[in-house]
Amino acid sequence: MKTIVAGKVIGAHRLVVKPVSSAEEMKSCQIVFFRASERKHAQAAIESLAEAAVLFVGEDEGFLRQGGMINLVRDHGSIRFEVNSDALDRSQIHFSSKILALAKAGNEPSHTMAQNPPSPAEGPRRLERSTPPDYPELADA
Amino acid sequence: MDGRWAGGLQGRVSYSYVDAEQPQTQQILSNSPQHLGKLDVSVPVGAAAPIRQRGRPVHQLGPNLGRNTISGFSVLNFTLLGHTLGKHLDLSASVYNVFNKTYFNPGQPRTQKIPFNRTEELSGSNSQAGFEAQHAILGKDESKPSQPRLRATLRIGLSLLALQLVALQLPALGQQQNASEDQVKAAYLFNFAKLAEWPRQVLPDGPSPVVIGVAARMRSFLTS
Repeated sequence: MKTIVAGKVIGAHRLVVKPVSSAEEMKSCQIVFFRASERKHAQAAIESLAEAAVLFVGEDEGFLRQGGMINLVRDHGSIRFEVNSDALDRSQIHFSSKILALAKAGNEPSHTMAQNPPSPAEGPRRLERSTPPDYPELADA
Repeated sequence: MDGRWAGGLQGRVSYSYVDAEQPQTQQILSNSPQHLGKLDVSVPVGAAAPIRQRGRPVHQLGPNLGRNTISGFSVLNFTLLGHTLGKHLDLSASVYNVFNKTYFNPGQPRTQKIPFNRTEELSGSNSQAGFEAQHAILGKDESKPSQPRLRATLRIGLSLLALQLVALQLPALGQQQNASEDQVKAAYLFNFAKLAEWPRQVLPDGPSPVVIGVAARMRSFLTS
């Protein structure tokens, strides 16, 4: 992580990576990445920071159900990401259209979507599954 | 036999006895000592400057040279080894044959007394190279010393560094073809940070940083 992010600047903002263990520490972050080891603590932390405009990214199968916004999943030897549009819309974070271009609407409804059926009043809210083309393949499938 | 005592004192005693015979000549092996004893003691010298002192008397009894048995002898070697001078730096200074004793090595066709011989060498790559360099120096000597009577060597070994470089290069090589899963995930996080837009009150336009927090039991992801 540090090697990828070290010294990177986004616009006027430099990137900082730090370990966080409490909701209080996460509050000062723009993105919080939950490793799979934190699956028991993710939901409580996400709920307590619902108003904090923090982008919650995870890597655990049930992460989107816990209120996470983006989940990195392993699929046929590469990493793809799933987006919980509901959670993303509730937050005040906006993604540029680039990520929507990257995200490819999943044809097959996932089980996560089945548990959160889109309400007709809110229009179609989908889980989107992406296939970004420019990331390298993984070492082993 | 191996022993450790309080204060970092370490000792090792070994003894070997060889009873081998060449079937044609009924002679015992000409170039190996029948009795070989080794005593190796290492003593840490000072905690602040952890330089180790190692005395190593080697006692060989009755090595055989053809039909002529030469008497046993013992040699004391002395090595100073500093291994925490730097992260990747080992420094050792050795004095072989501290008592400047004349001895003959079995198995050498010509043994001759040689003048006091002092070599100093610096090895920049690793101990293997240092060993070869030492041979090269001796090989150039016209007098062809069978055994230097007293030799002092100074060796700066970067073997540890070389090993670590190899260890670092291996994942780097793998990375060119296959990025690790964590690196791909880190790249995703970086791209999310690039593509997301936060409200002004959370991320003002000024030079405030974008902070990515990693909630993990292990911190390996942070440094990957």
